[in-house]
Amino acid sequence: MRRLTAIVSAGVAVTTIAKPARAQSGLESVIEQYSGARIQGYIQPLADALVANLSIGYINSATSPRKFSFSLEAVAMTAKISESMRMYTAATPDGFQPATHETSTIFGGPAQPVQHSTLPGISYRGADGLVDAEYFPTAAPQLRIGGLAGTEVVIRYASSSMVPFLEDEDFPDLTLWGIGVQHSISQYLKLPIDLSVAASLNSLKFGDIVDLSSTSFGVNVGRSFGLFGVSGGIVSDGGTMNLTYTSTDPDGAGSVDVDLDVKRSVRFRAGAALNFGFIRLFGDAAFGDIVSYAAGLRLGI
Amino acid sequence: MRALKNTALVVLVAMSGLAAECFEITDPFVVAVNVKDIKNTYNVTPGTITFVPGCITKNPADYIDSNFDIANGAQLVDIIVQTTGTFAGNINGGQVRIGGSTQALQVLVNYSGPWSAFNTPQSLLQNSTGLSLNQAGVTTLLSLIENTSPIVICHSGAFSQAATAGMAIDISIFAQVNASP
Repeated sequence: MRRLTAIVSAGVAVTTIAKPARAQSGLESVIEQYSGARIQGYIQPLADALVANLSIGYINSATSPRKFSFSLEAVAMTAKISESMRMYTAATPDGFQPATHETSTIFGGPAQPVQHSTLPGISYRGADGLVDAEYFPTAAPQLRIGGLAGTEVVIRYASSSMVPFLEDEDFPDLTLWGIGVQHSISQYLKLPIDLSVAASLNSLKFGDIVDLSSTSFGVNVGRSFGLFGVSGGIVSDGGTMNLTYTSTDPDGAGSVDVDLDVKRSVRFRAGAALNFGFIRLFGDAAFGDIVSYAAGLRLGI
Repeated sequence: MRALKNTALVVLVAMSGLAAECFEITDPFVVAVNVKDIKNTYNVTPGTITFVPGCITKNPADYIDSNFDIANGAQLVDIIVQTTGTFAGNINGGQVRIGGSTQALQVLVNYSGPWSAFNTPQSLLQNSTGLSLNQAGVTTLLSLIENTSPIVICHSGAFSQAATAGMAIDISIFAQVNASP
């Protein structure tokens, strides 16, 4: 009971840190410069990285406990930003020559203006990359309840005040929630290894302009060797990022409501855990078009 | 067992620190901010042949959000001239002049041609028949924007015959200024 009280208290402490109201962030400032047609290439890598992050970190092991379990976890996920996610071919304004140019995505470096090929004095520039990172992280606490007929349920929630590396002036208010479910198949079969199926549903919002939703599902196998457990499997993830804002782009000024598709992909995942009873340390990685990693600490019974 | 737990905690803290180290926001982060509302409409008085209708002034608050910190650089992207109303004559020697004051004006763009041709918006980037850009005016405009100074915009020109009722000339300037939020 004392342990349970400590877990709940820690969770309350984490979730009640408050921050003052924010002015317009860097992300909002850059998005509104683009029309709905032009914003996609700039922001798409962020959507891809977020979906890659949000679909992992739910799996501690390939099996679900048969007796009741309850734990609070801190999990951090991070997606590797590849070179192909840093630059994109952007359309210049209608009638501009050249009609396209290579410029920075949100993960790129400083942008350079492009000169009109036949009209001296006419030029156009995109925005600098906002994030200069090898990896794009996401983090959240999560609550895990197991022992429900071989099913484990994980609920995660985070807001701006709980993600210290997202500064007020760079990103609007963050709200993240997710739910993951893992169901043991090996409870029905006599198998030498643990087998389970899993799925998750995630939502992430930045202020009123970015609303990302993603889903994942997969199959996992694994086995425990005393303190140490390993698991592997496949995960399919995908999603949609909706952007709602008012554009100042002369080629498409006004209200913008656009959906960016994060193409569903299949990735291979591998994980390991060190189980010390009340404390468990776990790691997870998914390999595919985007490579993402998760690491977490679990406190619970 | 205690050593293993301690090791696990140290590893977790180290990973969190590493993630924070790997994540940096570009500084300075520069956005090419669309400069808004540098435009003017001249409502032609019927009977006019030569027009010098006076100038208007766009103050910085009209065209740039004061929350941005201006960095070096600005871009002129396009200028659009459009006429509204019906008129059988031509525009001769149409000019848009800009400057920091009425005493320091530079020609930004010259335009001429049949009035009806300008009923379709004529821009430097598209349908640019009859428009020509003046580099001295471009330099002046970009300097004013970069320095967030008031911009004076003036029209002038002539019609091939007396103007009729319901005529107007719209000028729109599309520019960007490099700025940090």
